[in-house]
Amino acid sequence: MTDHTIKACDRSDGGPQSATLGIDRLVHEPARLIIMAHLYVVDSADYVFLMKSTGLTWGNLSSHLNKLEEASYIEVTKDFVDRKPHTMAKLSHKGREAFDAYRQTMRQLFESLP
Amino acid sequence: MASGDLNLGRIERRSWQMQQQDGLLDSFLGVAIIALGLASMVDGLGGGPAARLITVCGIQFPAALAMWCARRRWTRPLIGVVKFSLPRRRRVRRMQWILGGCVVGTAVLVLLTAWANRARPDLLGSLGAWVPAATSAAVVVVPLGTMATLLNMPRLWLHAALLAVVLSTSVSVANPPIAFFETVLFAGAGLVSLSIGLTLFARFMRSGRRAREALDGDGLARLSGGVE
Repeated sequence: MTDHTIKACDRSDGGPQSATLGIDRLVHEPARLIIMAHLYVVDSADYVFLMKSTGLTWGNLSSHLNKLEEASYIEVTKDFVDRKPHTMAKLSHKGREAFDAYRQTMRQLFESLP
Repeated sequence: MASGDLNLGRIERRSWQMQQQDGLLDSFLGVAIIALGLASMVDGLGGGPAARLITVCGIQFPAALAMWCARRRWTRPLIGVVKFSLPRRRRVRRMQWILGGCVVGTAVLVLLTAWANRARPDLLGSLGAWVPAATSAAVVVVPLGTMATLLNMPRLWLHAALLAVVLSTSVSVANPPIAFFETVLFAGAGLVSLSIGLTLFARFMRSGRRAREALDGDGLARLSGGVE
């Protein structure tokens, strides 16, 4: 688990609240979650596609992608297509693991509800 | 947010379908069907099989090229580029194999029919009237239905159904009620497909333009250039 995980917890007896310990804040934010979900199901995508498929504005998307890149959750590659710069984003191995862990944690969290 | 739910399967399917919403494939199918109608007219005017083939290819190849150019020039920059995961790429490859098989199967069927017409004219006559009609419909429905299913494009079923009805009608009607009956049938079906395609294309371009207008000037410049 990364250092972005939610640490606030007042119980550690295995009850519902202790399950929230594993929630990764970086993935948990709705906009980043939807970005990661889109990158999880495809191999790689460019910024235009992500903007269109997530419905985020350019500024929002750019800021969230920067955060994900800083955490090494995504890999950004830049190349030239028809002599124009073109940027692709891909979920890194670490990002994929973080997303899997997040899914697992959330599943546990809701399954632990009475 | 465009994606209201977090069902990963649905997100993947929607991402794939986004690539097919520009209406260009529908427009191409419309033009291809109209080309079949025009070829039938050429045939009716005494053009012969070569003229028929030239008419079909002369319309369909430029239409395919135009579709490719339009996608590259207009719609792809608005959709964005995405490389799909291995299971999706396998699915597309499987579809290509099936389509290849359909093309080979159709060619074999045409050759067999031509051979039967010459060598055993009684053989075709002995078949029920529904056989040529059903075969014609199957020739269209199988490949287009495969595409519709494997590519998650349900509207291809509509084009398949239209073409199947037109083909089976043109084959089964022995005494056409009007001159150039086949041409009228194909042109009608083609125009329906073309209208669907052009409507989707106009809607796609309009929504793309709106998205572009919603961006600030700087964002537009960065859109083509990625993130600095």
